[in-house]
Amino acid sequence: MKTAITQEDLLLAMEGIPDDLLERSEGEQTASRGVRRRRAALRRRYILPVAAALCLLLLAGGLRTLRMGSTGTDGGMVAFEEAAAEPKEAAAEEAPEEVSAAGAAENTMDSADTAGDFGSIDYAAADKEEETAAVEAAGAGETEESAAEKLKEAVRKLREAVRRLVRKAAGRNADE
Amino acid sequence: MEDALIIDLYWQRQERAIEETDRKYGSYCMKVADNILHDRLDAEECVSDTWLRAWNSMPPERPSLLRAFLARITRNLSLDRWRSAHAAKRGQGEVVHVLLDELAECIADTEHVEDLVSAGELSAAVGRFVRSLPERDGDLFTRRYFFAESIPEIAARSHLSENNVTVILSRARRRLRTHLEKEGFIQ
Repeated sequence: MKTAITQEDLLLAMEGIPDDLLERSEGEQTASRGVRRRRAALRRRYILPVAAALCLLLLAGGLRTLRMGSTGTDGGMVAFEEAAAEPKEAAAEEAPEEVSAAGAAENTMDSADTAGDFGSIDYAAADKEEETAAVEAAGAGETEESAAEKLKEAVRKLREAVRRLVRKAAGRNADE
Repeated sequence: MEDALIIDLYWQRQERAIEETDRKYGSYCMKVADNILHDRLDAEECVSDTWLRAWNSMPPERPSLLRAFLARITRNLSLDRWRSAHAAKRGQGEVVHVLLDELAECIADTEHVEDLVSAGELSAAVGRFVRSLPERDGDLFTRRYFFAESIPEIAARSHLSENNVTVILSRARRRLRTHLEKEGFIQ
Protein backbone atom coordinates (compact mmCIF):
# COMPACT_ATOMS: atom_id res chain seq x y z
CA MET A 1 0.00 0.00 0.00
CA LYS A 2 1.34 3.36 -0.98
CA THR A 3 0.99 6.45 1.11
CA ALA A 4 2.32 9.93 0.73
CA ILE A 5 4.10 11.95 3.36
CA THR A 6 3.48 15.59 2.91
CA GLN A 7 5.43 18.49 4.28
CA GLU A 8 2.48 19.20 6.50
CA ASP A 9 2.72 15.68 7.92
CA LEU A 10 6.34 16.29 8.63
CA LEU A 11 5.58 19.57 10.35
CA LEU A 12 2.97 17.84 12.47
CA ALA A 13 5.41 15.03 13.18
CA MET A 14 7.63 17.52 15.00
CA GLU A 15 5.29 16.71 17.86
CA GLY A 16 7.45 13.64 18.30
CA ILE A 17 10.25 15.75 19.73
CA PRO A 18 10.56 14.51 23.32
CA ASP A 19 9.51 16.69 26.26
CA ASP A 20 13.01 16.95 27.69
CA LEU A 21 14.33 18.33 24.39
CA LEU A 22 11.48 20.85 24.30
CA GLU A 23 12.35 21.94 27.82
CA ARG A 24 16.03 22.14 27.00
CA SER A 25 15.49 24.28 23.92
CA GLU A 26 13.41 26.69 25.99
CA GLY A 27 16.37 27.65 28.14
CA GLU A 28 18.58 30.62 27.35
CA GLN A 29 21.43 29.40 25.18
CA THR A 30 24.95 30.23 26.18
CA ALA A 31 27.24 31.73 23.60
CA SER A 32 29.70 29.41 21.88
CA ARG A 33 33.29 29.14 23.11
CA GLY A 34 34.60 31.32 20.29
CA VAL A 35 32.07 34.08 20.94
CA ARG A 36 32.77 33.94 24.68
CA ARG A 37 36.51 34.21 24.02
CA ARG A 38 36.07 37.20 21.71
CA ARG A 39 33.86 38.94 24.24
CA ALA A 40 36.34 38.30 27.06
CA ALA A 41 39.18 39.71 24.94
CA LEU A 42 37.11 42.79 24.18
CA ARG A 43 36.36 43.24 27.87
CA ARG A 44 40.03 42.83 28.80
CA ARG A 45 41.36 45.14 26.12
CA TYR A 46 38.92 48.00 26.08
CA ILE A 47 36.06 47.94 28.49
CA LEU A 48 37.89 47.18 31.75
CA PRO A 49 40.76 49.70 31.32
CA VAL A 50 38.35 52.46 30.32
CA ALA A 51 36.04 51.65 33.20
CA ALA A 52 38.98 51.55 35.64
CA ALA A 53 40.29 54.90 34.39
CA LEU A 54 36.85 56.46 34.73
CA CYS A 55 36.47 55.07 38.25
CA LEU A 56 39.88 56.45 39.24
CA LEU A 57 39.05 59.86 37.86
CA LEU A 58 35.74 59.93 39.69
CA LEU A 59 37.39 58.73 42.89
CA ALA A 60 40.17 61.30 42.65
CA GLY A 61 37.62 64.03 42.01
CA GLY A 62 35.54 62.88 44.95
CA LEU A 63 38.54 62.73 47.26
CA ARG A 64 39.64 66.16 46.21
CA THR A 65 36.19 67.58 46.82
CA LEU A 66 36.07 65.88 50.20
CA ARG A 67 39.45 67.23 51.14
CA MET A 68 38.50 70.73 50.11
CA GLY A 69 35.27 70.44 52.01
CA SER A 70 36.90 69.20 55.22
CA THR A 71 39.86 71.61 55.43
CA GLY A 72 38.76 74.42 53.21
CA THR A 73 42.11 74.20 51.43
CA ASP A 74 43.68 72.01 48.86
CA GLY A 75 47.38 71.26 48.59
CA GLY A 76 47.49 71.66 44.88
CA MET A 77 45.29 74.72 44.88
CA VAL A 78 47.32 76.35 47.63
CA ALA A 79 50.53 75.79 45.70
CA PHE A 80 48.89 77.17 42.60
CA GLU A 81 47.50 80.20 44.40
CA GLU A 82 50.84 80.92 46.05
CA ALA A 83 52.61 80.62 42.73
CA ALA A 84 50.05 82.88 41.13
CA ALA A 85 50.33 85.43 43.93
CA GLU A 86 54.13 85.63 43.82
CA PRO A 87 54.56 87.22 40.39
CA LYS A 88 51.84 89.75 41.24
CA GLU A 89 53.65 90.76 44.40
CA ALA A 90 56.95 90.83 42.57
CA ALA A 91 55.42 93.00 39.87
CA ALA A 92 53.86 95.25 42.50
CA GLU A 93 57.23 95.61 44.22
CA GLU A 94 59.18 96.18 41.03
CA ALA A 95 56.76 98.50 39.30
CA PRO A 96 57.07 101.49 41.68
CA GLU A 97 60.87 101.37 41.39
CA GLU A 98 60.63 101.29 37.66
CA VAL A 99 58.20 104.18 37.69
CA SER A 100 60.31 106.10 40.15
CA ALA A 101 63.47 105.61 38.09
CA ALA A 102 61.80 106.72 34.91
CA GLY A 103 60.02 109.45 36.80
CA ALA A 104 63.31 110.72 38.23
CA ALA A 105 64.81 110.96 34.79
CA GLU A 106 61.78 112.76 33.47
CA ASN A 107 61.64 115.04 36.46
CA THR A 108 65.23 115.99 35.92
CA MET A 109 64.49 116.81 32.33
CA ASP A 110 61.33 118.66 33.28
CA SER A 111 63.06 120.62 35.95
CA ALA A 112 65.77 121.53 33.48
CA ASP A 113 63.18 122.54 30.89
CA THR A 114 61.14 124.57 33.31
CA ALA A 115 64.21 126.26 34.58
CA GLY A 116 64.67 127.74 31.15
CA ASP A 117 68.40 127.69 31.70
CA PHE A 118 69.60 125.34 29.03
CA GLY A 119 73.15 126.06 29.81
CA SER A 120 72.79 124.69 33.29
CA ILE A 121 71.37 121.33 32.22
CA ASP A 122 73.38 118.56 33.77
CA TYR A 123 73.38 116.13 30.83
CA ALA A 124 75.84 113.84 32.51
CA ALA A 125 73.56 113.40 35.49
CA ALA A 126 70.57 112.84 33.26
CA ASP A 127 72.45 110.23 31.24
CA LYS A 128 73.50 108.49 34.41
CA GLU A 129 69.98 108.44 35.70
CA GLU A 130 68.72 107.09 32.36
CA GLU A 131 71.32 104.35 32.47
CA THR A 132 70.26 103.47 36.00
CA ALA A 133 66.63 103.33 34.93
CA ALA A 134 67.54 101.07 31.99
CA VAL A 135 69.49 98.75 34.28
CA GLU A 136 66.60 98.66 36.72
CA ALA A 137 64.16 97.98 33.89
CA ALA A 138 66.38 95.11 32.76
CA GLY A 139 66.29 93.86 36.35
CA ALA A 140 62.50 93.99 36.29
CA GLY A 141 62.55 91.89 33.10
CA GLU A 142 64.67 89.31 34.90
CA THR A 143 62.20 89.30 37.75
CA GLU A 144 59.39 88.60 35.29
CA GLU A 145 61.35 85.64 33.90
CA SER A 146 61.95 84.25 37.36
CA ALA A 147 58.25 84.69 38.16
CA ALA A 148 57.39 82.70 35.06
CA GLU A 149 59.80 80.01 36.19
CA LYS A 150 58.21 80.02 39.62
CA LEU A 151 54.81 79.68 38.01
CA LYS A 152 56.06 76.74 35.97
CA GLU A 153 57.51 75.17 39.11
CA ALA A 154 54.20 75.64 40.91
CA VAL A 155 52.30 74.04 38.05
CA ARG A 156 54.74 71.12 38.12
CA LYS A 157 54.21 70.77 41.88
CA LEU A 158 50.48 70.92 41.36
CA ARG A 159 50.66 68.14 38.78
CA GLU A 160 52.75 66.01 41.12
CA ALA A 161 50.28 66.60 43.93
CA VAL A 162 47.38 65.51 41.71
CA ARG A 163 49.34 62.44 40.58
CA ARG A 164 50.11 61.53 44.21
CA LEU A 165 46.45 61.97 45.06
CA VAL A 166 45.39 59.71 42.20
CA ARG A 167 48.02 57.12 43.16
CA LYS A 168 46.88 57.19 46.78
CA ALA A 169 43.29 56.83 45.69
CA ALA A 170 44.21 53.93 43.41
CA GLY A 171 46.14 52.26 46.24
CA ARG A 172 43.23 52.71 48.63
CA ASN A 173 40.87 51.40 45.98
CA ALA A 174 43.06 48.33 45.49
CA ASP A 175 43.27 47.76 49.27
CA GLU A 176 39.47 47.90 49.53
CA MET B 1 2.57 27.22 42.18
CA GLU B 2 4.50 24.01 41.54
CA ASP B 3 3.54 22.01 38.46
CA ALA B 4 2.82 18.92 40.57
CA LEU B 5 0.30 20.87 42.65
CA ILE B 6 -1.40 22.22 39.53
CA ILE B 7 -1.67 18.69 38.14
CA ASP B 8 -3.12 17.56 41.49
CA LEU B 9 -5.76 20.27 41.18
CA TYR B 10 -6.68 18.89 37.73
CA TRP B 11 -6.95 15.42 39.19
CA GLN B 12 -9.13 16.73 42.01
CA ARG B 13 -11.32 18.36 39.32
CA GLN B 14 -10.90 21.80 40.86
CA GLU B 15 -11.48 24.70 38.50
CA ARG B 16 -8.68 26.59 40.23
CA ALA B 17 -6.34 24.35 38.21
CA ILE B 18 -7.18 26.33 35.06
CA GLU B 19 -6.67 29.67 36.83
CA GLU B 20 -3.26 28.57 38.10
CA THR B 21 -2.26 27.20 34.69
CA ASP B 22 -3.33 30.41 33.03
CA ARG B 23 -1.37 32.46 35.57
CA LYS B 24 1.78 30.39 35.15
CA TYR B 25 1.72 29.40 31.49
CA GLY B 26 -0.79 31.79 29.89
CA SER B 27 1.76 34.07 28.27
CA TYR B 28 3.95 31.13 27.28
CA CYS B 29 1.13 29.32 25.48
CA MET B 30 0.05 32.62 23.95
CA LYS B 31 3.53 32.99 22.46
CA VAL B 32 3.48 29.46 21.05
CA ALA B 33 0.09 30.06 19.41
CA ASP B 34 1.01 33.52 18.17
CA ASN B 35 4.20 32.21 16.57
CA ILE B 36 2.09 30.01 14.33
CA LEU B 37 -1.05 32.07 13.81
CA HIS B 38 0.24 35.64 14.00
CA ASP B 39 -3.22 36.68 15.08
CA ARG B 40 -3.88 37.83 18.63
CA LEU B 41 -7.56 36.82 18.74
CA ASP B 42 -6.98 33.40 17.18
CA ALA B 43 -4.08 32.81 19.55
CA GLU B 44 -6.23 33.73 22.58
CA GLU B 45 -8.90 31.28 21.44
CA CYS B 46 -6.27 28.58 21.01
CA VAL B 47 -4.99 29.18 24.53
CA SER B 48 -8.54 28.92 25.93
CA ASP B 49 -8.98 25.66 23.99
CA THR B 50 -5.67 24.47 25.44
CA TRP B 51 -7.01 24.85 28.99
CA LEU B 52 -10.13 22.91 28.01
CA ARG B 53 -8.13 20.12 26.43
CA ALA B 54 -5.80 20.00 29.42
CA TRP B 55 -8.87 19.74 31.67
CA ASN B 56 -10.15 16.82 29.59
CA SER B 57 -6.74 15.10 29.47
CA MET B 58 -5.97 15.19 33.19
CA PRO B 59 -6.91 12.65 34.41
CA PRO B 60 -6.02 10.15 33.06
CA GLU B 61 -2.76 11.82 32.01
CA ARG B 62 -0.19 13.01 34.52
CA PRO B 63 2.50 14.84 32.49
CA SER B 64 6.01 14.88 33.86
CA LEU B 65 6.69 18.27 32.27
CA LEU B 66 3.55 20.37 32.32
CA ARG B 67 5.00 23.16 30.23
CA ALA B 68 5.98 20.86 27.36
CA PHE B 69 2.60 19.11 27.64
CA LEU B 70 0.75 22.43 27.31
CA ALA B 71 3.04 23.62 24.49
CA ARG B 72 2.27 20.46 22.56
CA ILE B 73 -1.49 20.96 22.93
CA THR B 74 -1.28 24.65 21.99
CA ARG B 75 0.85 23.89 18.95
CA ASN B 76 -1.54 21.21 17.69
CA LEU B 77 -4.56 23.43 18.20
CA SER B 78 -2.84 26.32 16.46
CA LEU B 79 -1.87 24.19 13.47
CA ASP B 80 -5.44 22.81 13.29
CA ARG B 81 -6.81 26.32 13.33
CA TRP B 82 -4.34 27.42 10.70
CA ARG B 83 -5.28 24.43 8.48
CA SER B 84 -8.99 25.05 8.74
CA ALA B 85 -8.50 28.73 7.95
CA HIS B 86 -6.25 28.01 4.96
CA ALA B 87 -7.82 24.84 3.61
CA ALA B 88 -8.97 26.53 0.44
CA LYS B 89 -6.24 29.04 -0.22
CA ARG B 90 -2.49 29.02 0.25
CA GLY B 91 -1.21 32.51 0.83
CA GLN B 92 2.39 33.52 0.65
CA GLY B 93 4.71 34.71 3.36
CA GLU B 94 2.89 33.20 6.33
CA VAL B 95 4.99 31.44 8.93
CA VAL B 96 3.54 27.97 8.38
CA HIS B 97 3.97 28.30 4.63
CA VAL B 98 7.55 29.33 5.13
CA LEU B 99 8.14 26.33 7.40
CA LEU B 100 6.49 24.00 4.88
CA ASP B 101 8.64 25.39 2.09
CA GLU B 102 11.73 24.81 4.20
CA LEU B 103 10.67 21.25 4.94
CA ALA B 104 10.25 20.62 1.21
CA GLU B 105 14.02 20.08 1.25
CA CYS B 106 13.45 17.01 3.42
CA ILE B 107 10.46 15.61 1.68
CA ALA B 108 8.82 16.29 -1.64
CA ASP B 109 5.10 16.96 -1.56
CA THR B 110 4.42 13.75 -3.51
CA GLU B 111 6.86 11.46 -1.72
CA HIS B 112 5.60 7.88 -1.68
CA VAL B 113 6.53 4.96 0.48
CA GLU B 114 5.75 1.30 0.12
CA ASP B 115 4.45 0.74 3.61
CA LEU B 116 1.73 2.50 5.43
CA VAL B 117 3.26 5.11 7.63
CA SER B 118 1.38 6.17 10.68
CA ALA B 119 1.68 9.66 12.05
CA GLY B 120 2.96 8.13 15.29
CA GLU B 121 5.83 6.36 13.54
CA LEU B 122 6.87 9.47 11.71
CA SER B 123 6.74 11.48 14.95
CA ALA B 124 8.89 8.91 16.70
CA ALA B 125 11.41 9.01 13.85
CA VAL B 126 11.58 12.81 14.07
CA GLY B 127 12.05 12.54 17.84
CA ARG B 128 14.95 10.13 17.35
CA PHE B 129 16.46 12.40 14.74
CA VAL B 130 16.39 15.49 16.97
CA ARG B 131 17.93 13.51 19.80
CA SER B 132 20.75 12.42 17.49
CA LEU B 133 21.65 16.01 16.67
CA PRO B 134 24.29 17.93 18.63
CA GLU B 135 22.68 19.82 21.51
CA ARG B 136 22.85 23.26 19.93
CA ASP B 137 21.60 22.12 16.51
CA GLY B 138 18.79 20.15 18.13
CA ASP B 139 17.70 23.19 20.12
CA LEU B 140 17.72 25.40 17.03
CA PHE B 141 15.76 22.80 15.05
CA THR B 142 13.18 22.50 17.84
CA ARG B 143 12.79 26.24 18.18
CA ARG B 144 12.23 26.59 14.47
CA TYR B 145 10.01 23.62 13.62
CA PHE B 146 8.22 22.97 16.88
CA PHE B 147 7.80 26.47 18.30
CA ALA B 148 7.80 28.13 14.87
CA GLU B 149 10.10 30.91 16.08
CA SER B 150 11.53 33.33 13.56
CA ILE B 151 15.19 33.18 12.53
CA PRO B 152 16.07 36.57 14.14
CA GLU B 153 14.44 35.45 17.39
CA ILE B 154 16.40 32.19 17.43
CA ALA B 155 19.62 34.00 16.53
CA ALA B 156 19.19 36.47 19.38
CA ARG B 157 18.44 33.76 21.90
CA SER B 158 21.29 31.51 20.84
CA HIS B 159 23.87 34.33 20.44
CA LEU B 160 24.48 33.42 16.80
CA SER B 161 24.16 35.42 13.62
CA GLU B 162 21.03 34.96 11.53
CA ASN B 163 23.15 33.60 8.71
CA ASN B 164 24.71 31.06 11.03
CA VAL B 165 21.29 29.90 12.24
CA THR B 166 20.07 29.56 8.63
CA VAL B 167 23.09 27.45 7.70
CA ILE B 168 22.73 25.19 10.76
CA LEU B 169 19.03 24.66 10.03
CA SER B 170 19.72 23.93 6.37
CA ARG B 171 22.26 21.26 7.33
CA ALA B 172 19.84 19.79 9.86
CA ARG B 173 17.12 19.52 7.19
CA ARG B 174 19.51 17.65 4.91
CA ARG B 175 20.39 15.30 7.74
CA LEU B 176 16.69 14.78 8.43
CA ARG B 177 16.16 13.72 4.85
CA THR B 178 19.01 11.21 5.14
CA HIS B 179 17.57 10.00 8.44
CA LEU B 180 14.10 9.51 6.98
CA GLU B 181 15.57 7.68 4.01
CA LYS B 182 17.54 5.40 6.31
CA GLU B 183 14.44 4.62 8.34
CA GLY B 184 12.50 3.87 5.17
CA PHE B 185 10.01 6.72 5.29
CA ILE B 186 11.12 8.11 1.96
CA GLN B 187 13.01 6.62 -0.94
